[in-house]
Amino acid sequence: MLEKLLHWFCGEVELRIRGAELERFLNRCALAGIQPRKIRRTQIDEMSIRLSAADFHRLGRMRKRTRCRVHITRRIGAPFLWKRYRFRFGLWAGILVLLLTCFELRTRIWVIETSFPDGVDGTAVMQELEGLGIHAGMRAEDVVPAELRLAVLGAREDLSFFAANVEGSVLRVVTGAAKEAPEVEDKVTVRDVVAVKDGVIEKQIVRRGTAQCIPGDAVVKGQLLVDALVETQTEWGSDRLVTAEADIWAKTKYAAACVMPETVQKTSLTGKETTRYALCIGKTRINFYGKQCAFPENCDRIYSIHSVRLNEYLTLPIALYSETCRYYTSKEQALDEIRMQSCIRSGTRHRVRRQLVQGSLSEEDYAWEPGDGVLTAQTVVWCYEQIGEVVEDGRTEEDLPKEEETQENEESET
Amino acid sequence: MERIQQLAAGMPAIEIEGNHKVVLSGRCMITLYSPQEMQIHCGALRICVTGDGLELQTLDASELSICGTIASVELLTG
Repeated sequence: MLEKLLHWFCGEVELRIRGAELERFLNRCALAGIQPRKIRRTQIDEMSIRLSAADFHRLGRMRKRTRCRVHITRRIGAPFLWKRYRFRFGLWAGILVLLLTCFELRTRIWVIETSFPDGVDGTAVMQELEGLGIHAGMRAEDVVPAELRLAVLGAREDLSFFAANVEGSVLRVVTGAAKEAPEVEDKVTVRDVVAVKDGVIEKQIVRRGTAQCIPGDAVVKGQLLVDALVETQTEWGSDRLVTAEADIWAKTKYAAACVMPETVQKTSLTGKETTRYALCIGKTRINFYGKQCAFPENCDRIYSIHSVRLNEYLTLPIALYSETCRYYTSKEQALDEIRMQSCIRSGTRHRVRRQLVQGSLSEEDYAWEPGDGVLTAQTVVWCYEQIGEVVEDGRTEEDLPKEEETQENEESET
Repeated sequence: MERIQQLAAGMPAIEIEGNHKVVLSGRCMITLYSPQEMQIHCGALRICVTGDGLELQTLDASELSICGTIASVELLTG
């Protein structure tokens, strides 16, 4: 390959040698240091060879001795090309402009590739970059990654990591989200624990506050389960208000009614398929089908778009749209009762589980009512779940009963 | 070393690659050149290469190579 390129740059000529003593001609060439290539005997008194331009000039002295005629059939290579086109100034100017344009375009950034994980506001980061003068079309040497990093990290508090690297015409931006500081619990705020649902308490773990119920109690929604007021148990202490904290596990009840039809429309493909195409160039759409080619209702439609992509970043505004229609027939099919019941059970469990914040299902009770083409199920589901919810109390230290009042109350009682 | 001595004595070194290439090292003169038969004179030795589609691939003062479908390489003394 390299050798061919070298021969092309130096220039070579293809010759037709005619004469009776062709072998003598070749021997003379070998003795004179001339290296012919691609030697082919075309006729009994004719052969074609290829010589470099320098060797051809040395051939002149030799051919008379061998009594052979030498004809040039082709001139190949850069020197002959230059000789032919040296006065085509428009061509050379165009080539020069092309080379300069390619060089100039190569020194600019045309693609900004970003990586924004969860927790990073990509739009805000891009706006920040635009504010710093980073955009497609700018010169690559104007991007200073270290300064850019300092500027962006100083402006965005939601970022813990930022890197911008220039690779050819691509600017790669990589970011990392800052971890949020954990929320500090405000222990001064007074909070109670109340029930979010009706239920029967089965287990309770009270870490702060005063329990108002015991396991086995039936509670209703909104009922106070753990009070924020902690009364002192000794003579020298005082009552105080705390942020109540507890886990209250109770048995709760969910009722649901499900209805399922006894027959369904089952479809089966006929095997018939039709496809129609359209070409989109920019905003212009060219349909390769007539207006009569409309899809009927009993078919599945599959749409696909094939666009022309030159590389990872460049997609041309040309796309081929294909719409395939697969025809099917539908018929009514009766469902098996066992299968219907199984569907209803799984659906009910799924719906109840979605309502549980923390807990599980313990018992299910179904009452089946077939008739009128549908199967109706009246369902009662018992669950074991956490029903305590922390809510603001609204009381303050001023609401606490004072010592003088308590003493007066005690004296009046005695 | 032997090869150098041989070449110095005017005897060619013949290398045959499969049936598609023959390389002759040494001072050789072509006495017959055709696509079916080539005769090369190397010192006291005459080499006759027969085959089909024979072509001279390299030709200079120290080496000569023939490529094509080679049927036989005969060494003729005298």
